[in-house]
Amino acid sequence: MAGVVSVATGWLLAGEWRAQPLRMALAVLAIAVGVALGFAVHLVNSAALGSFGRAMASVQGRADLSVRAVAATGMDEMLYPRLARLPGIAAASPVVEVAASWGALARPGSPPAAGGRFTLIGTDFLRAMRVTPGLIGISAAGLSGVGTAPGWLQGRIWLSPALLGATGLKPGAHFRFTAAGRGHDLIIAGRLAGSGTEARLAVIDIAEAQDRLGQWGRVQRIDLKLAEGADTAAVSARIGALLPPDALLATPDGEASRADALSRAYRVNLGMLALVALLTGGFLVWSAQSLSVARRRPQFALLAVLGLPRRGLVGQLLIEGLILGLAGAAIGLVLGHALADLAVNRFGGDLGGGYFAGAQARLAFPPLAALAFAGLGLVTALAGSLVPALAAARVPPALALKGLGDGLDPGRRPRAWPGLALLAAGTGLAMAPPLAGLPILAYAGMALLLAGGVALMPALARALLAPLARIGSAWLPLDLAIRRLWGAPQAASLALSGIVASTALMVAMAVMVASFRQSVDDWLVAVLPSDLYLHLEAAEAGGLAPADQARLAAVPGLAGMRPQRVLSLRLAAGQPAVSLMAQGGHAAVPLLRRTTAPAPAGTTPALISEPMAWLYGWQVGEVRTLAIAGRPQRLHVAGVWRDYARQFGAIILPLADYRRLTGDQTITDAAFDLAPGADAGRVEAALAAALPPAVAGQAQFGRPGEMRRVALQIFDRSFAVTYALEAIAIIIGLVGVATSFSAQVLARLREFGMLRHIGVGRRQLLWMLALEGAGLGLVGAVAGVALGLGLALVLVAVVNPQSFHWTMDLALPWPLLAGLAAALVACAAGTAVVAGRRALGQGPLLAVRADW
Amino acid sequence: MRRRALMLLAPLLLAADFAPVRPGVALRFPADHGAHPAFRTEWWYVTGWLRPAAVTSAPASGTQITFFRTRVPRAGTSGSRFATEQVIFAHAAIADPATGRLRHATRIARSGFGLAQAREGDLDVAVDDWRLWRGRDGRLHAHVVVAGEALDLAFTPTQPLLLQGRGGYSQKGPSPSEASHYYSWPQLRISGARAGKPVAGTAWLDREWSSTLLNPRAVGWDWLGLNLDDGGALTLFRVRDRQGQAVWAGGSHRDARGKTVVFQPDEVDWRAAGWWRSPRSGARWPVGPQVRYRLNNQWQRIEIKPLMPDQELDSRTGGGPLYWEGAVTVPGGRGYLELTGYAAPLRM
Repeated sequence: MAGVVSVATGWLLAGEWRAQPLRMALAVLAIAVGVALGFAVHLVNSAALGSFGRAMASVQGRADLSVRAVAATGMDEMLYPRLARLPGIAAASPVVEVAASWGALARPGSPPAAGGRFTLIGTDFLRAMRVTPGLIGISAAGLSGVGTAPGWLQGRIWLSPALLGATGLKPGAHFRFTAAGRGHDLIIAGRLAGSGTEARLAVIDIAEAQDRLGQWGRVQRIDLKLAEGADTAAVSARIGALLPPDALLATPDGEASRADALSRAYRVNLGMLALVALLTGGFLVWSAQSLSVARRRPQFALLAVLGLPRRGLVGQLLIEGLILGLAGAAIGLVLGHALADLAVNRFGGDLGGGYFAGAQARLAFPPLAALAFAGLGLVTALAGSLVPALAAARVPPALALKGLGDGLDPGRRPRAWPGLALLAAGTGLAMAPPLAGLPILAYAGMALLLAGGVALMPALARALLAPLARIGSAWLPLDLAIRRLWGAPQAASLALSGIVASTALMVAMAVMVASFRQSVDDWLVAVLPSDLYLHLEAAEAGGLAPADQARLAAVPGLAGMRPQRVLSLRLAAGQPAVSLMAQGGHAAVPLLRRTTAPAPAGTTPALISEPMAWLYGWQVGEVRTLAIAGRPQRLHVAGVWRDYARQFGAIILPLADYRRLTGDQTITDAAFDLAPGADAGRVEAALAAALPPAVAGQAQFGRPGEMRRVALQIFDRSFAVTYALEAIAIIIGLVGVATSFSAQVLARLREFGMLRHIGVGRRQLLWMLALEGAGLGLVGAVAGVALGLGLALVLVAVVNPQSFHWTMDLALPWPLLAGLAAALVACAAGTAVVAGRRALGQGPLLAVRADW
Repeated sequence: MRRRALMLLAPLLLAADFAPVRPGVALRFPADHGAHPAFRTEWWYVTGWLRPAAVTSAPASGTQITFFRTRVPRAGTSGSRFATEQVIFAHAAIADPATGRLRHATRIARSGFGLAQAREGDLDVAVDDWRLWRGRDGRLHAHVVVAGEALDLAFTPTQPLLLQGRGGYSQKGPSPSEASHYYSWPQLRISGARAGKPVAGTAWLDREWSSTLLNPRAVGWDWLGLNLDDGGALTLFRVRDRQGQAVWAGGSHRDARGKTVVFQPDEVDWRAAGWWRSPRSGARWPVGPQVRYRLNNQWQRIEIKPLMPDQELDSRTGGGPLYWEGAVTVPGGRGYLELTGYAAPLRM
């Protein structure tokens, strides 16, 4: 007997899969896509983060500890001897570090130019030798620094292998570059010994660096080597007691977490989206398996009668799920690796997010992560099979053998409370605070909302159709369609679950992206009120001197010039830097909140960006202390402005106050208003000609329209992944609708035969099917859009502020939503008709006979 | 003659205006104990034999404490505090025959920031936590740390200074310009502590400063300084060419009563012998050379025995040279032997 059962099982299984290759393939594909996306995002992230981390470690030379200036303008170098004499410090190495560039820099959004950025480092070679051996040069003669060619020989520079490669220069050649607003020409003495292959950096003598960059008396960091056996905590405490307000102690761990923090929110969000895609895959497996179970109920009943226990039935379905999951996971891993490869090559390691400029990503194949994602896919497929398997096992064989409808009494109301409970739990989680600075709970809430929405479908379908069912219709096809949908809500919801899930996700993403894009666009218009903008790249160490500024301001055709000095400040050791923007003239930013109270005496008015307020807890009206140019300054927070450009915070000060506090007269940016009738092109050319030749390569001019276009282009590119996800989700959903429909239609052949028998016409039947399809599509669209709007609200109001610390205004892309609903309805109706046509091709006699 | 940190300046073929070494310049003290920053390089070279002060029978060990000052010229003016021309390099080593290996450490820094400097006017040279200075008591003091062991030593003079060559002008090559200002201070009595335990012994200070030292044909040199048991002091050196032949040679002998004889180049005969191959660097060192000198028209042969063969110093990773500097004994005396230029030509 057992033999018969197992043979029958295998035979039925093979038969089912032979009969339904498309649906099985679809389920596999759904799992594969989820696994592929998750794996690809993980691969790209770890590649980018790894290379970025290695590049950062190279620039830092792998010191035990580092004291860093909070601002690019550096700190007093006299801290160096004090640190060097501290007990527990074996050696201290003072370092000048500035951003520099060679050649002409590419503008964002335009093709690459023959130039690039690099980090220029000035060291005392004799100190660096002990503290950061990676920053020591190897000359052609082979040995480093001292001995064969003293490092402090003037006019010499050592380049990292990556920079040598990028510039195409060889030792002995002249290297011309721009740093601190001046042009430099040095002879390449050799390459840096241990700077890795990723970082673009160059090293010169520290005295020469201070002279060339006009940085006398200041260093950006002091690298420290601990004495053997020194207690890091005790030494750190001693260092901390010495530090002036404009310096902070950075540990390698802190630097790593800073690199991590740079892109963490972006990475985690992408990862979550991939998991959501996997979840959609799970729903599709569930829907596919449920349909197949429903269709095979008589087969299962036969097997049960033959003696197959219920556990065996569940086992059989689970084996099917396992095979689906394994195939999906395997395909997903291959697909994911290919996708990651493509993404890294096309968009760079940050998928166009712009977080890891300058680092070359390398893709690896991490076996553990691969196993984890494959496992996730497998679990999803198994879970998707387990639910319908348990349901099928519960149905009494006698009822199932007859193959009647849902296997449930149509008179019984579908339960609404599990769905409602899930929705309530999801809503509660969605409003929870962030975990570890990330919206993990909000994402969990979204998953629950999704599950709740799908679980609610049978009840919802019945509730929506109840009024229609009560009224009925004189038109037979409509009446039949309504009664069918009303009477078999389980089957309806099965067909719908996939499409509801994918529609909801698509709507959520579309609404979020549309809201974000609209807000960014409005913001761009608000922050770009002038006619022409000038930005100096890599000019933090020193931009345009007052004489240069005067030359620019005197260019004919200008009605006004608003100078700006931008520099980055590190307020906390493990946090990315905050931008300090000293603006001349009236600040052109969209204010969200402001205070009209006058600034208290002795304070400087400051406007802070939304992320700044969020990350550091600054409130409007408060007075906060900030170290500027080595001295603590009291800032009065006069307002909060919306900023999408600087995720880690920005502070705007009046330029005059900044100059008074620091004595720094240079600028790095300027906005120009044209005189009436002036030609922008001619003025731009005149401005470019008025710039000192050394910074010509760094200078980037922009006009608001073009800058807006480029910004939105970059925006679209960073959301390219999101768009791709959306498209995949919707395609899977639509294909899911098509296959479920055709399956259901095929399953109802006997019903059609009977209807034909009692005189319902073929046309009427087709109408009935089309109406049924449209009705289902409509219910799915309404439910999906409603659920999607809820999810969008979570994305816009919770996930984004928690991840990126900015808010946005909700904007609904109505045409897109309407189009989506229409496409759903049309697709559902169309598939139903197509399937119906095929099914009704055979004569009614044959169809009825098949029933008995 | 010494030595290596010279290497620091190796490539300085720049036409910098270093002060020249001229004969007939009288040395003045204590000023000449201090630095001569106008010259390209100079060194304070203390070598000695140490033993625990309490146990006279304990085995002796050798020690070497060296400070170099090197001038690296800069073009133009600079507003940077880092733009100093002086680099201080220091080297210390302890040779314990019980371990059979040398323990040594280095310090190197450009002068400035109070972290490294060589004072003018009297002896006071320091780099980071290491220092060599002359106290008000007229004694020399040194503080260095080697492999976790602090050496805090005082050197008490028992004899007058020994001016080498002609009144402190010491020729190092066929050309009169290949020379250094050179004086020694033999028979210094050591007191102080090694790792907190009292030690005693005898030391030797070598002082040289120069701007042009080596003949272009020279690849290295050999040097020997011996405190003789009878209170005498013997200095011998030769500068070698690529074939191992002497380009120049010299030295001096001062007896216990202070009578000093300066050797002419043909009065020193130095042959490499007693070869020892370093298992670390692979270099071969003649650590038991056969040396003769002619004193009062009589050739004297001395038999040199190193305290242990492995007294090789590899300071290449610290920017210095690879050389051999070791405690040696001769019948009736003990001192230090220095061998350079055997692994690769020494360029100055």
